[in-house]
Amino acid sequence: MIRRLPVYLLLDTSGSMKGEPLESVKSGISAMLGGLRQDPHALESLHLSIITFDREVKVVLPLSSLESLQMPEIVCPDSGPTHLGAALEALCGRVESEVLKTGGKQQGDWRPLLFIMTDGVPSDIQLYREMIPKVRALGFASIIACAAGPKARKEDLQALADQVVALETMDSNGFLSFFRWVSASVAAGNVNAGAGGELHLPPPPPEVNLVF
Amino acid sequence: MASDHFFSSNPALRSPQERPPVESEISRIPVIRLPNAMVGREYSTTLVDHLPDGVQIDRFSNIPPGLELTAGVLHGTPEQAGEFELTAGNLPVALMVHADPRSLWKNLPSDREDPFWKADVVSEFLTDGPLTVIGASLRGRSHAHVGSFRDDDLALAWFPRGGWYSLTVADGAGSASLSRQGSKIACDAVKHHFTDYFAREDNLLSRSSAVEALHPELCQQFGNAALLARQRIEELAAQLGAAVRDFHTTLISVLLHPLPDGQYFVAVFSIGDGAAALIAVPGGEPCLLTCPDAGEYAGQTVFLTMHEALATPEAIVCRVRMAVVPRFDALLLVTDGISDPCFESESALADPAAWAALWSELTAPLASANSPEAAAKAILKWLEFHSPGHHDDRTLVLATPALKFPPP
Repeated sequence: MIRRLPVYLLLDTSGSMKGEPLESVKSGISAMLGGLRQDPHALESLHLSIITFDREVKVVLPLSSLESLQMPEIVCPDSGPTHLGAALEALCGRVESEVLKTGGKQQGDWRPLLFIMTDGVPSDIQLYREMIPKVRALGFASIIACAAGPKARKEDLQALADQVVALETMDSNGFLSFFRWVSASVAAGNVNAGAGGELHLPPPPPEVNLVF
Repeated sequence: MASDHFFSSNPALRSPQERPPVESEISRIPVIRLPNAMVGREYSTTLVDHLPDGVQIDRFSNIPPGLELTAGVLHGTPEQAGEFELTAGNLPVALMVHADPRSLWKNLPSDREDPFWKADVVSEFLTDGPLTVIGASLRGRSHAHVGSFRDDDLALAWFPRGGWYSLTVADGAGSASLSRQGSKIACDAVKHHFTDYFAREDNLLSRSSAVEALHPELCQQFGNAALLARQRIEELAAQLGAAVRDFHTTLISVLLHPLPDGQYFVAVFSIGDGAAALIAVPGGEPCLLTCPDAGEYAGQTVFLTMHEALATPEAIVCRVRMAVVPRFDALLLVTDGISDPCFESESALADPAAWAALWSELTAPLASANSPEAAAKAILKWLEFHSPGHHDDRTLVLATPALKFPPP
């Protein structure tokens, strides 16, 4: 039986992402998948899920092996709120039902990874705050949040993520760098997930700033 | 989020007319996608399931090498990786053909200039005692792929005075930067400790005839060996200005003692994952000697280098197991690079039949070996087995009365 490395990607698709930002995110993901498809370990063990959030939360890609998955359709409404709290709530349900834990006759998956990309502030801030301890209790090897553009509030993300990175501009270069780094981090996860605790991420590229 | 304000602040996006063309792979990807394929793997898909009504599937062209279209079914074994754009009439249809992961593994050398470099492959054997003991350790593909080091280690010793074997394996944590040295120090320290111990005339383990009386002394000596290992790691960490967790390693230490009446005494101390087991103990007795420390997810375990592992005498005592067995075919010590792919679950790890199956896989290549060198080589060859998703370092130590070699 193959041990899976589950990776969850939460993407902000609120109105402000419409146009170039969303197109850039999509080409970033596509380039990331292209890179991972060349990595033998990822090809054998990586499983990816994509959840988008705006007014609605959509599981556009349920946890699927890299080998079988196809890039889903990702669309933005023209305007509307950013329901990151609701997205985290949906994530908890998905992780509990999709990710295998060790016990008895079952071999567990590698610890899952979570990447969140948002260009704004959670509109459902109360639910967001309630979900933080629940998401942290899921046992992710690492939670990485990307604050894209000037409107993203890093402080909110810092309460949830082990690491927050910032993209100053929401152009294709920035997102491409971010997703390239995600794919390098996922590869690191593959090699390093054997350790008891912390995951050592590769240093981000210059377009991606670490937030301390 | 309201979008207008943000866009106007970004000069590149000030007005829709001025936007540069977006270089998006997505927009070029055709809407119709066939299920993904893989080089060397049989493929078959019924096209009508994926195409809109009315499309002429007899006019399908640009079919990737190795595939063919018969009666509306695209089938065959793809020969070439890549993203293929087929055409059905005027309609583009995409097909992703993945490379076979086996063809993508690289084998990059590790840096020999590194102060803690270790060989990618090692083997050792002991033939001066009553059993044949062979150990082999192989760098995993995941390390070879990026040119990093083998993190596993092993140490073997036979002490003729009293007749004791000390067999040790250790597995450095993948994410700890100096764990390869942690596992080496752990194996060396345990061997060192027992070398000193069994050299002493008055050592309790050799003097005592009542096996039950050995337990406190075993706990004491395993504990001392592990503490010596940890002390050496702490010293090196301090010297390098590194953290002890950078040296995270597991440890399995086995003492094996042939008794005068032909039976065997075996005692084990283990921290972390991997396993040690006896094969073919009469009466179908439980064969697993270790109690692997596992977390809820794969790879989570306890390390020698964690404070709690040796924090109290109780913490040490609960890691010690001992048994007297009338006979056995083999004693095996394996790191998790072997136990993970070979045992599907914790319950399989405790199943004598699963261990017997592992041993029978090894006996075939060993049977044709006519020297310990050849046997070690045969084991190293076996360690290269391919199991998707399992590419960690692999270390195996075996002690067996069944394997005898003609004198050289």
